[in-house]
Amino acid sequence: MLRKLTPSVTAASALMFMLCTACSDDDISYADDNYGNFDALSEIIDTRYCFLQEKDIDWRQTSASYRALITDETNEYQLFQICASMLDCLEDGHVNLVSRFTTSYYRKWWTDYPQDFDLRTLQQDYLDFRYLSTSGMYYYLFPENVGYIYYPSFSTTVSELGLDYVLAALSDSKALIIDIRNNGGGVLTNIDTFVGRFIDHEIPGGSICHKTGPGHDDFSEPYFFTYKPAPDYRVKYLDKPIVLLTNRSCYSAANAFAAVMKSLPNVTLIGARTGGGGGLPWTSELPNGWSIRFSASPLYGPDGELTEFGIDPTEGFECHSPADELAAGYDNILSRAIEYLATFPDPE
Amino acid sequence: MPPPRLPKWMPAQTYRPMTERFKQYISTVALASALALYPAMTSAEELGVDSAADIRTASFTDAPSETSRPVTGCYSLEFGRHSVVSQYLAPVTYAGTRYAVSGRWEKCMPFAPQSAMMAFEAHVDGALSLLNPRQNSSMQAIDADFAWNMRGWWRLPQGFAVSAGGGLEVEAGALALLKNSNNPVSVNVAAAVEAAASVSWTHRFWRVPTVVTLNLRTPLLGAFYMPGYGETYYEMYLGNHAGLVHCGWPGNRRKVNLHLGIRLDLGRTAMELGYRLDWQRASANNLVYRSLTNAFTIGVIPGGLGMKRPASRQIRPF
Repeated sequence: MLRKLTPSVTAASALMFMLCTACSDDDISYADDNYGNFDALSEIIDTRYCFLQEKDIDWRQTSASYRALITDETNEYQLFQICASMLDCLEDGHVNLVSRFTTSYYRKWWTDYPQDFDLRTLQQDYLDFRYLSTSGMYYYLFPENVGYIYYPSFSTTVSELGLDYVLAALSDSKALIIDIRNNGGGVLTNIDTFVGRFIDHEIPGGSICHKTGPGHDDFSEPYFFTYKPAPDYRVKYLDKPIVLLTNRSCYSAANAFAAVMKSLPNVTLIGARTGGGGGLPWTSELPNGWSIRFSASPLYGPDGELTEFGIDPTEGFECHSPADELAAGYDNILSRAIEYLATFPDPE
Repeated sequence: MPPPRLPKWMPAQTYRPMTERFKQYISTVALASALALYPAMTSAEELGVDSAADIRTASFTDAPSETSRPVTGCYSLEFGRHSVVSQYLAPVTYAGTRYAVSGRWEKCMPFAPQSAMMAFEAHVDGALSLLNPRQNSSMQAIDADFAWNMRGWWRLPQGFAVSAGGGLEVEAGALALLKNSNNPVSVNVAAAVEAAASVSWTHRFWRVPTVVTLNLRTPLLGAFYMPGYGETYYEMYLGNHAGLVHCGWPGNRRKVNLHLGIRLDLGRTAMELGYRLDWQRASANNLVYRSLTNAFTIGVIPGGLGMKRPASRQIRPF
């Protein structure tokens, strides 16, 4: 009996051993030590980050120069600082290294530029603290019969019903200001909700692609997408002038919103160039459990331009709100928008 | 005894004492059971067996083929170690304890009870916390697997029997690593034509009829889902579904579901103790999904295996 069973048992054992040990190279092959974690981070960026070519970064050279700073005595905090400094070379606000003790940010995309916005000045000197708010939006009607919506974050979901109330309240205005200054982005689907209220036909939204492999040139074909108008039973704001206020702190989803709004013929962008953030973030992980977030899918605007580097205001409408004026209660960008829209005739 | 005080929200006409409600419940259950068991009891009388429970046993024996609708159902609980790498989520292995409930239903085919059988397997498992190697990040997993196959089976000397055949397999599951931004979930969906085979050995250990069974299933050809290398769910939401579904074959999707079970026939019921190895690896779009489960299984087979009957009268693949 045993003699008969031996070949079967041997075969089964071999099969199970093969299965248990097969393909162990599918996971990351770096050790969980200083060099292993650094190399894993370097490889993830090298193979998955989507703007190395657009930003003309020689990543391997950059990585090698920072790797030389690591020794066996480098502690966890020092390793984090070295990695974070290396990631700053990407000059990308979507890049974060996340550990249990801190998160790295590249902040220069906005800290090196004027802020052009002060919330207290807006609330006190323009809205007189009498604004209404719903779905993460403030809204108000200026005496010039110009409607105003301030949307500070795309992370707050805009409800369709909330937007109905806001646009219904402002429906008799002759023009509308949408202020997204200091809006650092959030959920991209909020763009659909907003844009659908300002269009009566399908419009091009831009295109998106993604990496298809580890090579720097491995990208999919661009996928062109559109925005559709909101259903007829929703309140819309059509055929009236709209001004979108932007500053350098408009990032990511706010940046994408600015790109599509700029393509509408009745929309004027007033303010400063947006901060960019045109790559959809992706998250991966190092052997020590740190998370790395980075841009992985480039987003192009309706004009075909890469949105990573920001959206310019409409030509002739670039302006700033200096800090001293804001402190004195004067918001130059907002004032200019009101003055511009006040010239339009009142609706019949 | 004074009547009980009714809660204010309860209308007086709907209140009945607990004993009355219990009696009605018992009578309802009895009526439903009688209705459900009536066809089985009738069949049992035709077969000359004692009870509806015995029909499973009888049907494996010398019952006429047109009444032979035997089902041997094994219901199991499983637990074991599960490890997974989904490069869409993270390039490191997450591992932890995984729990599952599974069922396996087998029956001999009426047209050839001596040589053909059909099996259906359902397997639902999940893990609340799969941890990365540093154990500072966790992933959740859920998965369901259904397989149907038809096999020919042959009785060999020394109590051995083998079976081989094929069928269909459908699997759907997801891994969630919610700390991720635009890639928080890895979906694992596949459908395939599979090959299935088994070897069983029947023996008596200390007068307890025992069947040792090794079941093996592996997909051959089908389709499976794999997202793009760097494709976010937002892009899919926008409508880009190109390249998400792939033709699966052993070159890009390999899976082995192996179950070694020892069934102990205790008469009216049987017990199964076993071990399951479930390994799969799917690769497409420069991404790899790999999982490995080593689990212990414990199951019960209501009605037993019918092995108390003379061996010459048994038609019992496992």
